[in-house]
Amino acid sequence: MSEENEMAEPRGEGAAPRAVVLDRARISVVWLIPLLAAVVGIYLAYSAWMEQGPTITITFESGEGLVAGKTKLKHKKVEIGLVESVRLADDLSHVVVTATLATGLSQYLTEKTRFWVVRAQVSAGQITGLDTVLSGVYIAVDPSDEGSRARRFVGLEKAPIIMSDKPGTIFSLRAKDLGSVDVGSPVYYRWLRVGQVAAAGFDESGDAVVVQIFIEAPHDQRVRSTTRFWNASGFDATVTADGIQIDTPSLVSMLVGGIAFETPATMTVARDVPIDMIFELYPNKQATRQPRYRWKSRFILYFEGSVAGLSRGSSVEFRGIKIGEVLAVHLVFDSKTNDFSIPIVIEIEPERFGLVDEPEDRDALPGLHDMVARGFRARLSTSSLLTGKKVIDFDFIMDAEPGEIRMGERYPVLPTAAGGFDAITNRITRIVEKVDRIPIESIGQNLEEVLIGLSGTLGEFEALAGSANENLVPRLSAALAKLEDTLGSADSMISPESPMAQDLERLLRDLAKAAESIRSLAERLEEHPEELLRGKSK
Amino acid sequence: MPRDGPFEPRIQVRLVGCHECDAVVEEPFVPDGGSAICGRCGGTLFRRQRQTVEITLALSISGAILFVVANVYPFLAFELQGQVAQTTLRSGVSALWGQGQYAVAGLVLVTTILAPACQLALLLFVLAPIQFKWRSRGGIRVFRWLGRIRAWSMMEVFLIGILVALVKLSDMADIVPGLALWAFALLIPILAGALVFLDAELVWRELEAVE
Amino acid sequence: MTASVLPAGMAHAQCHACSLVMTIPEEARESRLGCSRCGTVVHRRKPNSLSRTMALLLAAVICYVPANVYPIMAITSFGKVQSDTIFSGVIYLFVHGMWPLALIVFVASIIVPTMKLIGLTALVISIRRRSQWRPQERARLYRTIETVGRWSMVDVYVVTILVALVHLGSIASVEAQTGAFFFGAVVVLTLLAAQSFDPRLIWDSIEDNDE
Repeated sequence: MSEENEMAEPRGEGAAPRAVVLDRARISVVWLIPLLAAVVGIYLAYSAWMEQGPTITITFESGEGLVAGKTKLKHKKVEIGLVESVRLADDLSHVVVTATLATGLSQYLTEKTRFWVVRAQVSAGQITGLDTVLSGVYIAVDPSDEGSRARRFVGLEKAPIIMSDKPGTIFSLRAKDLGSVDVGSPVYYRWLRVGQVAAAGFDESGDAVVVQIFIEAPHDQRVRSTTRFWNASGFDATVTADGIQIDTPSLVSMLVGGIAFETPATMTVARDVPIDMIFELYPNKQATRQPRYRWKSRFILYFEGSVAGLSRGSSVEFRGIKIGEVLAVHLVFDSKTNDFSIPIVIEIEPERFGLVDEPEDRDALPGLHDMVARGFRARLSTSSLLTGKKVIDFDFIMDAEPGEIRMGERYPVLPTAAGGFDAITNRITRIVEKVDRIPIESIGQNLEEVLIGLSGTLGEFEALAGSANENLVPRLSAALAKLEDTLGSADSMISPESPMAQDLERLLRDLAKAAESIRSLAERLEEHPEELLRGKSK
Repeated sequence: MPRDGPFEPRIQVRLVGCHECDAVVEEPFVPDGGSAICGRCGGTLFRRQRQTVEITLALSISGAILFVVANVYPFLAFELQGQVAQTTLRSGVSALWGQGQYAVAGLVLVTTILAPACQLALLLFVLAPIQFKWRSRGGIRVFRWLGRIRAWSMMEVFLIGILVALVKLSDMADIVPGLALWAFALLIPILAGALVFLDAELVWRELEAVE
Repeated sequence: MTASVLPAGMAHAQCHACSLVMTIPEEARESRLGCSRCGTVVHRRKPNSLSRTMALLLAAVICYVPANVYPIMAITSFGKVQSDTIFSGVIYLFVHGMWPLALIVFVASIIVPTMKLIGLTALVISIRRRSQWRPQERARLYRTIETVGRWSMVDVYVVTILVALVHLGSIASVEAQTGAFFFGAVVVLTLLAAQSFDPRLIWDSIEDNDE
């Protein structure tokens, strides 16, 4: 069936003209629809463009976990941006991430703003980022409005320890080695965590490790100039009169290392920490109780004879008080002089002398030259006769041979003197020599003769006494005169000025010299036996 | 050639054939908005709409704008335990492609994005010159493809599929419809309307008149 | 005014693209003809309609089995994988109380394709056997198949959306499986089959009888 024809045909009677249905040109109302659509479309495009935040690029070493279009950028766990693309740099050395951020953040995109990827990690006593296992990794942002604006950033590989907005202070500590302390290890005060290790590295000389720690406010105020820091990993066991005392740190710091500090009551007044102060990091709490000095000077000493009993770590003392220690005992063969020398490197802490101010040139100790001039010498002393361990003992020595400080290759060389024990030995040797020189035998012989003469004189005296009563007095006086003579001649014989004694002395001296040269000859021959045949080579 | 005025069946007897039963009849007069049905088999012969060009063009333009919005903006956002996944219309296609289902990805791409886009483009290309009296060539060559393209445009089915999927996911997570979804939802009736108001015969006649 | 119904016979042909009814001159009846308006090739009947339709239907039937046997998607949640075929998806929806959705999916993904396959096959058979049984009903059947056919794409779109939305790493992710491919193939093949079927053939046997 077709539709009925419904076209209107005017059924008019009469002369009314047929109206022609005109095609009315009208704008159909249907055009409202596209108009509306266009308005909405434009509005959307505009607002999307307005909402478009800044686009930035961040470079990372690895793109692990970063997904284009999905990975978010967050600050304080609030989403502030989205990663648009993740691709390799042209030279394949790193990954370039392009991200767009929400509007209004342009002012926080400065050169100091930091970006890092948050992934699940176990580190430094914390397990962080576990939520990323479920929700995917994200890029964390630490915005900063200092510095100039930037759009290109280099991402950090690890989260920064210190957020720009966290108040606190960084301190520097120096230690021989790091032990189990690592970046992120906690810092404790009275076993409350108040900060963490921010960075660790070598100092300029490479001989020590410098650790930078961050302590949160307000605990950073507790650090004064006399504060002691120590490595709190592992436990401290001290043996005291009461028994063994064990100080255990928290399990965390035992596992991941930790640093603790306290400000002990000391003689020095605690001051505010100066800007560049570097604290000492003691290996354990025990060590902090010993006075430690920052300033160390090094010197070299040469000793005659054997240095057996002296080793690295041996004490260097002054009148029994430790002022330093031996760093090294070297054996050096000088091919030019064909001789051995034993330079000993010692380290002294001049602060122990009370010299508080560290001069510019650490080795130029003021007054040291004067002291040396006054007889300040180093000697080897035996600290324990039982073990034979030696110490180096400095003291002012009377009648010391004149000496001075000379500059060695690396450190100044201080003059030395023979050690105390040697002095005794020497003195004994001298006495023995002196005793040796006394002509005891001849004196004995002389004495014998004198005594014989004396007994003869006494015999005569007896005879005289037997035939006494006749010429006693003249005989007695004559006997006495003879006795006087005998004694006088004995006296002159014994007296060192007597020619006989002097002769004898000379004789003995000559004998000693002869013995000496024979001895040195014997020594020489021992070393160079061929000289017997060839004669002296020099 | 001047445009035809209102159709006068008495002057020209045109024949109209039924696509389904091959019956040929004289073209009846049909008022605006009406349609002619085949007497034999009941199939639709044609729809009459005198303002077809205007209406269809207007709707096609709206449809085009909506289509752009629907494809540019996020479609759905899926939130579960803080994880948000946003998708656009093409996300589905790329996800399927990424899983190795190339054929299915292609099928979805054609039926939900390509065919509707071609349809809209075709209508605009053909109708705009007629309406605004522009010079244009190729309208005839292009317009004949409309039927085929229409067969492959399945956006309305897609919408139902979305709803089913949403309900399936609703107890698992939060689904947040995005702007594109609304645009899509509007696009479907508008495109359908454009086709309803399309009087192909009149358009052909216009095309013939121009070329 | 009623229009006279002229059977097409051999004198007229209608362009399938632009609906123009044309007369075919005697001498040109066996040659390849083009539409005078739009230039597309004119066929009185779709060439090889029945064989093409049957071939496509056969292919569709072959794909139908794996489409339902293989899972169409796998949901992986915390390592647990759950594969769903179309049917198990319906059951899942039903069991979870979402029975309207279950119904929609059931109709769209199971009833409709089956109906298409059976319906088109029946139509083809009816034509082969030159049946005259209720042509209008058959025509309506064909129209229904053509209109409703596209709705079986719903499940494919559901999978698409789920795949696009649910990619939350280990919490949940969805992957399309081979079932989706085969099901898409079924939809496409039945669509093509319906397109290649020429409904005018239904009326041919009627006309032959009339004459």
